Amino acid sequence: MTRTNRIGYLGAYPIPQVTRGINSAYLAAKAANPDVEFDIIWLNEWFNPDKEAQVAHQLLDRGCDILMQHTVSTAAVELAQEKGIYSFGQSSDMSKYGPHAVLTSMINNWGPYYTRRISEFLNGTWKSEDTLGGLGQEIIALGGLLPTIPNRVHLQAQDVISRIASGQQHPFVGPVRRQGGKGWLALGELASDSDLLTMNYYVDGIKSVFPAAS
Amino acid sequence: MSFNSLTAKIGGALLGLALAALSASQSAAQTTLTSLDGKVNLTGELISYDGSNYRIKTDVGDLIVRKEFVMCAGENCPEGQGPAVGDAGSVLLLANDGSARIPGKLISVNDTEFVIESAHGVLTVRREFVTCEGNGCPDSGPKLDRIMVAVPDTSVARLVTTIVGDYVSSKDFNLTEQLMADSDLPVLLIGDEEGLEVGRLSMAQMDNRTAMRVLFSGQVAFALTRERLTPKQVVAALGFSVQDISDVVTEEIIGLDAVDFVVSEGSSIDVMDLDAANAILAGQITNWSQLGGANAPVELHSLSQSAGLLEQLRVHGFSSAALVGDAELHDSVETMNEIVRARDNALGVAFRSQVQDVKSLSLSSAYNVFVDSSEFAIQTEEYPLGVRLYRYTLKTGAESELG
Repeated sequence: MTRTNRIGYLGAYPIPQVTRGINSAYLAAKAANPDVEFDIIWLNEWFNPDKEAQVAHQLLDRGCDILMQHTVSTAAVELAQEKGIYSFGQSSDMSKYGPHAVLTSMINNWGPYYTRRISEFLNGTWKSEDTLGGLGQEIIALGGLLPTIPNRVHLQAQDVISRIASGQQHPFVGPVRRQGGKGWLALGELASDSDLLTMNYYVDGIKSVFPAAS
Repeated sequence: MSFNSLTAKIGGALLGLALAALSASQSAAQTTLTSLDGKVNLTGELISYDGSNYRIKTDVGDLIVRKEFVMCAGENCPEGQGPAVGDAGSVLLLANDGSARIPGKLISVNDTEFVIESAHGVLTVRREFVTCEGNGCPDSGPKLDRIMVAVPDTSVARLVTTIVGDYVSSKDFNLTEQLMADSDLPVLLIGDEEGLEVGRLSMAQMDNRTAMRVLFSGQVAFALTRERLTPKQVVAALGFSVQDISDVVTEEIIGLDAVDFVVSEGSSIDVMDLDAANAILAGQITNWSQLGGANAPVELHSLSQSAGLLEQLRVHGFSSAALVGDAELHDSVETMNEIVRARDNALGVAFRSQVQDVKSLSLSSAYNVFVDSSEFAIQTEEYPLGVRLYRYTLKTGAESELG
């Protein structure tokens, strides 16, 4: 889907929740296109439409032709629509704001979780518990795929989605090295929940600098 | 694909809830879970540990806390569940012969010893017997080149970003921008060919007087200004008089910019008389028909954060007092450009470095001397509203490569 092989990424805060989104997206993109590069700009904000628009412009100026984001406004999506490039929605279905641009959206689908937990509270079965969920648990959902993407890509994407949702595929499976070449996951090894919750580094291949605490 | 987790939020909420239940003392049978930043302590009876979570009975009830978020202290802590390697500030000291592993929080380090707070108490370990792993270890890699630069406005910050970007690209290095929530100026992270950080350039927006003061106090590596500083300004910042300011600062012109009057590409206006421009800003010309254009009101647009623009207009003889009052001021360059691009009656006033995809008006000055608005005219400084960008550094002191 990219012609320039440059994906622009609007990072919110450099915390594990955001970093693993970048890393998993990079590994998946790299598997499909070995020449792909990620250009990441950190905003240190979740929602700031003006700043997001400004950063999205910068990324376009630097040759990116697909925009990804972990910020939550529709600014980048709207710019992608205007400029005729592709983008991904974040946190909600943003296809309405970029009907020809949004490849899909990552949706925070917390409704079912809240319904279940409140029901437990009401019937007296609620107890404190640790929750870590993704597509399989329907805590995360994906918006519809852009209808105009090639059929082969559509089928591949659907396959990956269903495999991740069913647990047959994991976004982080070895061999994976950390940025700089340090070993992380051995061949076939899956990232643990602990790895996911403490991911404060990029995977090998991402050329951007991870903003360590100063 | 995303593992957008509720866990961190839930864990944070639990820790936050527990803030109210801090216990200063800890009996022998009690366990204390301390957040990795050391700000939150949960003290109580450790009920269970399943390899991923602690369940601890506290004054506010039973809490489940993920092991990644806390360090465990107390005799009931599971073996080896001190701070994990990779946690901020935590380390793992590995004996050179592999016989011992000591996880903990590094309290201090000098040339000969590590002092570490471990699950077994505070330990002092000779450096030659162990290797240190984890984010808390002293940096043994290349020293980071960190500099701070004073800039007059956001457009100069953009220029610096472009210059640094070109520089690092020429070295096959990488540039990552990090914006701050409370600032429009990016922090520039410079990485080597693998993305490992080797340099960091931060920028602070300030007026010329403040820029000189912080330059002399050593807080910035250099200061960029849109105006040439007078000896009086330099001496005022220095605090004592000097015979020649070139004894204390080095001045260089590192860029040329210009005040630009811009309209949409579809506008019939191509040239503007400097007096007419002045009259528009002063509110004396309000309709394009007064300049030979269509019968439409002149709609002024500029930027809210270009304080240097007004100063430059004054320097060039504009009585621009009405500019702020009459112009619509925009927070972002993109918005201003977009509006000027879309509206035929709009007139934008900004620095050349800020405008994009709009038509820059050529200017005619006294005696009808016509100067086009080309880059060439700016570079040769024929353009009447040219602006120089000055760089000031201290005469003494070593400058980093990045600087």
